[in-house]
Amino acid sequence: MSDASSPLLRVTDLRAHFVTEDAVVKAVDGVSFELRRGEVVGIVGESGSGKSAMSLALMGLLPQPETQVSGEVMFEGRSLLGLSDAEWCTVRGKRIAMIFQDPMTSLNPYLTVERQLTEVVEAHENVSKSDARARSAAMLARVGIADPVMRMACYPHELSGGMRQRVVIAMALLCKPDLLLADEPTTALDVTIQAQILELIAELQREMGSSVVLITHDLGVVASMTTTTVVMYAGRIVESGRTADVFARPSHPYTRGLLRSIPRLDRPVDEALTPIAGRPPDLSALPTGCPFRPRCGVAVARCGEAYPDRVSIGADHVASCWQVKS
Amino acid sequence: MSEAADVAEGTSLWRDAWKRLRRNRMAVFGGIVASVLTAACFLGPVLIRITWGYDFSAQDLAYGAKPPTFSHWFGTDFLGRDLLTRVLYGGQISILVGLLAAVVAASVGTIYGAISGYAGGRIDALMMRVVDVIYALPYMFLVVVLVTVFGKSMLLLFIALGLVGWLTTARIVRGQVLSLKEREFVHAARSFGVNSRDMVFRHLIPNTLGPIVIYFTLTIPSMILQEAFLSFLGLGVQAPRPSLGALINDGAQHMTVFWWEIVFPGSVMALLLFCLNFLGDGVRDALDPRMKR
Repeated sequence: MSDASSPLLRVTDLRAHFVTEDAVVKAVDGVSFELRRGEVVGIVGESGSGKSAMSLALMGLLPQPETQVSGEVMFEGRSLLGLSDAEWCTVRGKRIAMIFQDPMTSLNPYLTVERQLTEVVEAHENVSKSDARARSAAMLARVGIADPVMRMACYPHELSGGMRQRVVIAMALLCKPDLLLADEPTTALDVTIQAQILELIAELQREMGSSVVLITHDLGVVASMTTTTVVMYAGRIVESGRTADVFARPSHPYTRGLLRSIPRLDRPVDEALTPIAGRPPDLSALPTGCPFRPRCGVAVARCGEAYPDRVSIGADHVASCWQVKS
Repeated sequence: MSEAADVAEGTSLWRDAWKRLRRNRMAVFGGIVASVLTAACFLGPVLIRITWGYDFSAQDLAYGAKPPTFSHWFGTDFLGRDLLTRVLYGGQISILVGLLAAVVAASVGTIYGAISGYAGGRIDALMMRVVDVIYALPYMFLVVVLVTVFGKSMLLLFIALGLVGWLTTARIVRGQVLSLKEREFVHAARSFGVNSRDMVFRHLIPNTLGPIVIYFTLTIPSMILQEAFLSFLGLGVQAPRPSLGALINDGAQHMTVFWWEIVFPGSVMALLLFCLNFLGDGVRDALDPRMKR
């Protein structure tokens, strides 16, 4: 293990542009952040703010050559973006794993749970079939599936949504990855199951000491689970900082808008919730200046001229807005 | 939830399909008759040899061509060979050729199509252009040239049949893979470090099995017909081995005199093809989820 001070993951100016015949969709447009070992980063933003595209870009899963990915992703001092397919296979699943949004579609309907689990082990480690099976069963038990040996013989459709997501989590954690990307792991699940799954991820994260990038649009989840919060809008990071700081002193108008649109226990019950007016911008035709300007309540003339610089508000707490004073 | 229903359908597909197939009377009839015919073709010649001592190539020139009698149910041909034995033996060859050619065509086509679709981009374009070029060749002409240059043989027959058979399968599978590889479980499998080979053979091909099976069941009769056509032209199975096509060819030459020589092999061939096509249609309908009745 490298020393704790150097970041596990450093993303610098990451861009992912989808090139279509008549437009360039800038799904991720210059994102930079760092992630230390054992840290949990929450990435929040509306649908279409580039969260999922960013996680796919980090995993090298965006379709080539239709997407142009540029920038730098350093994982343990190794650049990920230039890796060949064969090199990626040694990283994906082993060092970095990903949990997808919808467990209904992220498991292969034609393979048993056992096959899908042992496949992950066999892809990365030289183990016998019975060892791979034993490890898979142990991991299933660990993610809270009762009678794992019986469940392993099942096909995905024979399991409930919550159970399937547990299987996906088990697959992701089988090789004890250093980094876990969870792309809205609970959006497709029942509210009651959501809490259980999130608790499970948090528990396993503490146990294994993995770092987690949690992509969500649920601010409650971010507040309760993460150490660092990153707020994305139109493919860029508009505010980031330690979760406690961001929630205590939201600085970017977009972050404040997000927080005003959900109920909070520390505010009067009769206070009205205010949604953010308007819609997320068209990523293929972004306006000059700040992309949030058309929906922003405090915009000034300058906002239409240039994209705001990053302003430091506190330790590790930065926001990109002309109205924010350091 | 629509997605849940979708997935459930995908996996219990085979059981559902089997239920639907059993309810399809024509398909069941076709399946039974085709099985009986196949069994007869493989067991018949053996039984006949034991009881009557006839062989498909044993000649009895003194007896010559006679219409059906109790000792020769289908009659005999010009050389005094028992026609029933020859029809059964010919059926055996035809079924084997059809089955083998269909298996070759299905496997080559599946692998080729899956690789092409999964690789995508320039490799895909190149591989599919090769398919287009072979598709465009007049295949009968090609076979005639091949046979003239290399001489007639069973091997060449397979090559000729295989050469055309896999093309359509390759196209079907490629199309399926193109849509499958954008599905989330494929992304998920890649995110777990599954390599390209396992991806194609373990994740993608099993998911295309439905269309492959359908096309496979319809390929068998078409291969039998192709073989018969080649044999009819004298380019297929060579004497003294009979195939249904070769027998029909023989019969056609003296059909005004020895009617039984064309009627019996022709009827058996027609019956076999009908039944296999009914079965193939049944399988296609059974595997189509929209056909719920």
